[in-house]
Amino acid sequence: MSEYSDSELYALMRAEHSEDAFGELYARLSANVFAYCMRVLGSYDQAHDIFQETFLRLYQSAERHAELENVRSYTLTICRNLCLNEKKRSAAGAVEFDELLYNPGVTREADRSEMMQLITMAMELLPHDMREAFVLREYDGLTYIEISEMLNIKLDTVKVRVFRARQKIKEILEPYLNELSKD
Amino acid sequence: MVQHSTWINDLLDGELNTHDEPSLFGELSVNADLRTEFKQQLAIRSAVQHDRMALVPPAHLTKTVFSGLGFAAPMAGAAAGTAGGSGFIVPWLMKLGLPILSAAAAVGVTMAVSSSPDNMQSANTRPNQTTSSSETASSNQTASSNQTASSNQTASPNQTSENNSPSQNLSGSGTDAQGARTDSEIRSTADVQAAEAAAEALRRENRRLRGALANAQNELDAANEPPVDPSPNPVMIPPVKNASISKTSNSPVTAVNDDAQYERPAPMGVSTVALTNTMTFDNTRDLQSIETQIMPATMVYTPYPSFMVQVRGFTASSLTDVNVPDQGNWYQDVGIAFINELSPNHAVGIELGSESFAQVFEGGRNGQTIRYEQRPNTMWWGALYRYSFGSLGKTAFTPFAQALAGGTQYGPLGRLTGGIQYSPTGPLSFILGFEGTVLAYKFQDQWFTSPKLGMTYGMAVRF
Repeated sequence: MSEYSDSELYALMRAEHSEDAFGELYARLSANVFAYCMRVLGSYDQAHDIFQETFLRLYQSAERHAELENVRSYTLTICRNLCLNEKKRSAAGAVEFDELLYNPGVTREADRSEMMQLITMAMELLPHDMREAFVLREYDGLTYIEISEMLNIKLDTVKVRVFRARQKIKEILEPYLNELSKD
Repeated sequence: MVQHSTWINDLLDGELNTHDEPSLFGELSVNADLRTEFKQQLAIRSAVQHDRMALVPPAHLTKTVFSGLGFAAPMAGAAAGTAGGSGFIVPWLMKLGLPILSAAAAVGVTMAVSSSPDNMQSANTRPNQTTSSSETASSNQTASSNQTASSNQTASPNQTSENNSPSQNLSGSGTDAQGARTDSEIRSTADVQAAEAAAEALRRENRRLRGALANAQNELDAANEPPVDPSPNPVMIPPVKNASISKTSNSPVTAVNDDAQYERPAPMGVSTVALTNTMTFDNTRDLQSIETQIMPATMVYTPYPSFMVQVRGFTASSLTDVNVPDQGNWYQDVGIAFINELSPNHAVGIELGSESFAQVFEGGRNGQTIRYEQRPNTMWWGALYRYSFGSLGKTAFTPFAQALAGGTQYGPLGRLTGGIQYSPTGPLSFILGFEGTVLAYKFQDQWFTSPKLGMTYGMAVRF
């Protein structure tokens, strides 16, 4: 299955309900979707639910679309819409920072890194639009054009959001970075 | 400053215009604050990359997704979402599966070739050549003693052997245009069977010729010529090395046979038959052929030194933990060796290949200690020595140990291998073993090492 493009796999999934095609798409997209859920929602439990729902919707969507050019963007759009709904539904609408950092279910080697923890924290402090653009750019590797199409905003707006997100994170982490440079 | 920050942003995105690059780099060279910002952005970017790689859906979540759709959960290695221990083991096993299948396929091909109908057919037709050549009478000839060894066939004093090769006498083909075969080619059970078929054909031919000889005898009697002695002295051919048997008599010489005695028929119209014959056995040569025929195919005599080309793969895991992916190539984890087998136990050669090595090292830059992690793919080469311990009993398995010393573009490399070589038949052999590798490299006058442990597998062709 690895020789097929995302679009071909999606078509196979539609035509044959191919389990292999879905598995291959899952292998290609799951990291992107999971990163988006984790870094945009911030809550592991919420991310877990949205992640699962995203792939169920992706599989079901194959019934409705004859073909799809950019499966990754489409999948992330599903994920984004689910995340927005989840945020609306949850009264808080804000990141539960403590839950994210100290959730015992998240056993990641990377979380031991103080720098990475601080970046995660800084991202949680970003406005949602900046954070979303930053995550799509840095974590999911989408191009600015793909992000603008996905979010339905201008290309320049995407660039500005990503730029400001980077600057904001840098400002938040500046004391730590300066301390690091002194060491 | 904002402009410069934008340029840094564009540079990190890979979208900085080429005509802006000199301005940015020039500013970086003189502006300490800008350099600081650049380093900070790099540090943030590096941390984000590490975070991104660590963010993989856990295995239970993958299982939940697939079971929700009524699917079986995929293998860990097939889905990026399954991290952790199984994520390491399964890809490793998947890598191992390919060489195992390759080895099985190679064994199958070898067996198919050695027992193919073509081979059997040509073997069955070979006695005709021997017989027909025997009909070209020669009173002074050399016969091979292997004819009495495994096939129990009759050796004829008058038989002409145009090719002294023992293998051809046993299995030489008259109708097969492929012609003579060398000793090394007759190593399989199929060839032994072919030799037996050849012997049977010779026996049949002997019976026919005996009848013809009887007719000739009658004609001679009728012409009052001295009859041919119908009971020649049998000659036993002892399997003694370096022995030579020569017999000259006035009567035909035949070798003892369980089936028949071979007597050459007199040509029709010839009234006198010259019966002085000399039969010489080059037993040194022929005994090798006998041994080749009667020994199992796995214990064939192999001349040394011999040249061998070996291709093998590696499934080693780095003992250095890094969070960066391989910079792999399609030819990664593959090595090719050119080996000269000096004796059954000793071999030397050279080997080159391509592998990735995880590297973690620290160094100072502008007063800062920076930790580097990388996993570059590099070509390596080296000289190797292999010691083979001899076959395990009468099997085709031979344990071996091998050491390689070489280098890469990063530094010296050492490799120790212990494994087993399987030589089923013919020139092909297969290896499987465990291996430890250490790459040493230097950064800022400090040495670091990158050790790896794993398995190796491959096949070799001997020439």
